[in-house]
Amino acid sequence: MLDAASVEILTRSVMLGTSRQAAPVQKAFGGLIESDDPKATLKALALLGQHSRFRRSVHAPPTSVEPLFRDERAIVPEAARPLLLSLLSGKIGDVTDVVPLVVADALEHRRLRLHPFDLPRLEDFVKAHADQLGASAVAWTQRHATTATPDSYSFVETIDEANWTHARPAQRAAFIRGLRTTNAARARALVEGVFASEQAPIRLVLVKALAENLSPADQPFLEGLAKDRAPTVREAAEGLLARLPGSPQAAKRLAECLSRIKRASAGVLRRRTALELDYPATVNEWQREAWAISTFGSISLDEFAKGLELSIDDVAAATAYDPILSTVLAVQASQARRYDLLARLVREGLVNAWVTMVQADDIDIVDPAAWSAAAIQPDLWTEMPVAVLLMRLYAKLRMPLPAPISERLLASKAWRDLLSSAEQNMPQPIMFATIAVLISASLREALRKQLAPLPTEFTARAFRAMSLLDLIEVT
Amino acid sequence: MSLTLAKVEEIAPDQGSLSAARKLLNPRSWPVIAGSEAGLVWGECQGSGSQPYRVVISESDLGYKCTCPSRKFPCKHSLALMWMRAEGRPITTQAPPDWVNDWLARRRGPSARPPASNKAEEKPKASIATALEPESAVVDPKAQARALAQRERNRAEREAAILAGMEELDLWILDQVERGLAGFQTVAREQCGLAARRLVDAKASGLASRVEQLPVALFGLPEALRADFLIEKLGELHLIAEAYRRQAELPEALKADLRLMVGWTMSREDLLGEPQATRVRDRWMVLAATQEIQPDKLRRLETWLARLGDADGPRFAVLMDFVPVSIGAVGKTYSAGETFEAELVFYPSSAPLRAIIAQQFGSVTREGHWRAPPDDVSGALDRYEASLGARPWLGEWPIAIHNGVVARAADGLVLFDSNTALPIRTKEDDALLPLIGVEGIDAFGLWDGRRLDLKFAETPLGRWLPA
Repeated sequence: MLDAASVEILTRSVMLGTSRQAAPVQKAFGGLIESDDPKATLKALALLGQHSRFRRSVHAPPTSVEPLFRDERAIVPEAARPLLLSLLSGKIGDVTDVVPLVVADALEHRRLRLHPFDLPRLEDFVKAHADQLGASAVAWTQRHATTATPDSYSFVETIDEANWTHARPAQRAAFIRGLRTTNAARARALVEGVFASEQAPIRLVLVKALAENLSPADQPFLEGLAKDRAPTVREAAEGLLARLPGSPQAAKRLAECLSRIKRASAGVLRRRTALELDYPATVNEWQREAWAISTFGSISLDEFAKGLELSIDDVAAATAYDPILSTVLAVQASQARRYDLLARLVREGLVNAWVTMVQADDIDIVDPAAWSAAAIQPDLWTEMPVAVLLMRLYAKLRMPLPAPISERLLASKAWRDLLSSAEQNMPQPIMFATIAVLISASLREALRKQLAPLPTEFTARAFRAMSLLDLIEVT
Repeated sequence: MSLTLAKVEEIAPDQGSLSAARKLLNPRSWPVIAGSEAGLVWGECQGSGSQPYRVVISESDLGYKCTCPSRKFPCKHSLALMWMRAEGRPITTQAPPDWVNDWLARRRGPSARPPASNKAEEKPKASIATALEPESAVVDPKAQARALAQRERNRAEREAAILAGMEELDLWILDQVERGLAGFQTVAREQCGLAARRLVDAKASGLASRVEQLPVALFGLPEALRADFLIEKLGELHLIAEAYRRQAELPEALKADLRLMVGWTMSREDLLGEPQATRVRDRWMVLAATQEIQPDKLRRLETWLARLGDADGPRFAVLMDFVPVSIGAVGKTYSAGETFEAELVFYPSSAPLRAIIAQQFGSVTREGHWRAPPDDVSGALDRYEASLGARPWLGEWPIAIHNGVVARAADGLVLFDSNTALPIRTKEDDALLPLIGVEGIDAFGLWDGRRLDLKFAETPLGRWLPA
């Protein structure tokens, strides 16, 4: 009845206006509608419309049926998905505490990826931790990238010397750091081989990765970076050189430090040496600790003691009168992996030395387990640290506290006091969630029992986080 | 704290609430009722809407929550549940379902009760004894007859008004066509608002709503599709007007459809008593639960169901409820993936789709897997066109495709079955992107003749839902 030509004519007529171009109704519909029908135009419109509705337009075949991304990792267990969404998605989840980082670390460790259907709901989490969450997460963050802004680094699931230059910056840095522990020279050679062709941000992360297992063998390369065109790279190289005993930079820094130390005698019955820092006039009182740590924290412990012409034990005793200087010593002990000294300093008064160390960006903790055992002594705490500091602790260690430390924490007076006064003082749920992800997995059941009597609004997030980690860790 | 009848009296906002609660003590009003050992009691109570209301009370602190839109706290449903508990009626003990646990997790202590009124002492005390007194059945035959006659007069007046409104509508459509639809876009909002208001005055509120929503649908389309859309929709309006004038000639089901669409309503009681209404008892799965605010300031809640069993009858159903926007946000009564056994009664129609729950059997679970009927794209469009032929003013219609794949096309995403591609309506939230390339999916969505609004898919990777 209605052929293509009639459709076209009628359509043109109604679009232009039938007062301008009359619709040939009778002809188009084969006499079905009389031309003198007062509703002819309306009927024609209705029939034209219905005709259109039954017309199946041929849609062009798809240009691609390839998935958005490929990822060789296994997907998280199904039971973990609702927990991930409730903890980490926009509506209920809180992405400002440390739970997202812990979960990302756990997923990376187990080589698990998020379920692809959950990626839209976990946008903020994926964006913040894509490098840990695998190829699909990285592809998701780049899904709107156009050819004008290509990301030339792709996610490489298994990095080796053949493909490390193609990986994302964070992956490349982690690879170099890892190789430095087993073959420092080879790692440096790889960095040297690509250095000149990399952009400044990449050069910076590669230089910082050389901090692992630093030795005099690295000195020539680092000294060569004094001419690097990026100030950040030059500064990073300078910082590493300052940590190399025997280097001119280290010597200079040591000399400056020694010049700032005042010696005095203390004690009545037994005269002892007392050391004290003398601060520049430009350093305000509230800036002193940070200045001291950043200026002298990287000095080698042995060189420091040698410069003072004291044994390390004597230095420890002598700095006891100056808490900031004592903290500097603790940092040096940490960097030198002298955990026995660190533990002693903590027991003798520097209970919160760990706070300083976790807040400093340029302090690396090489052996988190041993460091924790020395620096974290919860039985000496008079009160629980605020949650933010515990979050930084995890961010520095990137692993839970070892089981013995976790056990001591849950048994500590500070923790028990917080629990017993929870209903009255109403601590933020963030505290319980932070403890839940900070303690060793073997202590979760004990923590569950401790939290069970508390109101759900304090502990729901903590319980969910522990359940999620349990599911991830058994996969 | 143990619930007592005295406590129920004390907590009731007024006598009317207690009287209303008394009528809900019948177990038949509660297709689901259970409790836990921790003093929680919950149930699903069939109200006047298409879906039962979910009610939970906490005996220990008299907390309560109900999904009904009542502004009284506690509502009659909560009071009825407390009343039954206070009387010690036996209740099955079981683990609380997800919606009860969600409520518990969100609670901040005992439920917020309305602040004590300064005039509390002046408020008449509600009394269970008064509520239990039988209502005096006052039957005045003359008054009944007068009321009946008045209803008939009202009905006749409304019919006349609607018919007049249809004539005006035709004139309005003709005006647009004579001026040319090419220029309609620039005046669409103004013109459609005008036409809608006239239809409201003509007491054709359902049709008014359809006209008022036309500009939104129009501007949601790519430019290339708008001309055909206008021709179809304006032509459809005339079709409806003409059908209404000639409704006596229409088959009963189509006539019922037409009247419902124009704005005549059918009460739940009338529908349940309608002998011609299609009734289907089966297991149903919720595939989508949506909310939309209509131009008339009503929030339309749609719950789309798919039949899981082998019973005869429609494969899909939609439950619709309307709640004033002024009440505020309404939580979903059902969510996608939930399944339950129920007898549904469909509103009379030449292509039955809208239904109410006549009776629910057992509780809602999350068990079950939906399988699309073995239709490819072409088969699904065949079914759509059959429904379109039966109901010419069909709006969005549920379709299902078996073993499809979402793929990229030149102008967006399509659902493809290796032969035919259906364009998919894409939204800003990127929820569809992870579905690309996943083969062998069973997809459900609403087809409007141009684009598929994908709502649910069972895939080898699990269930996909829009964000």
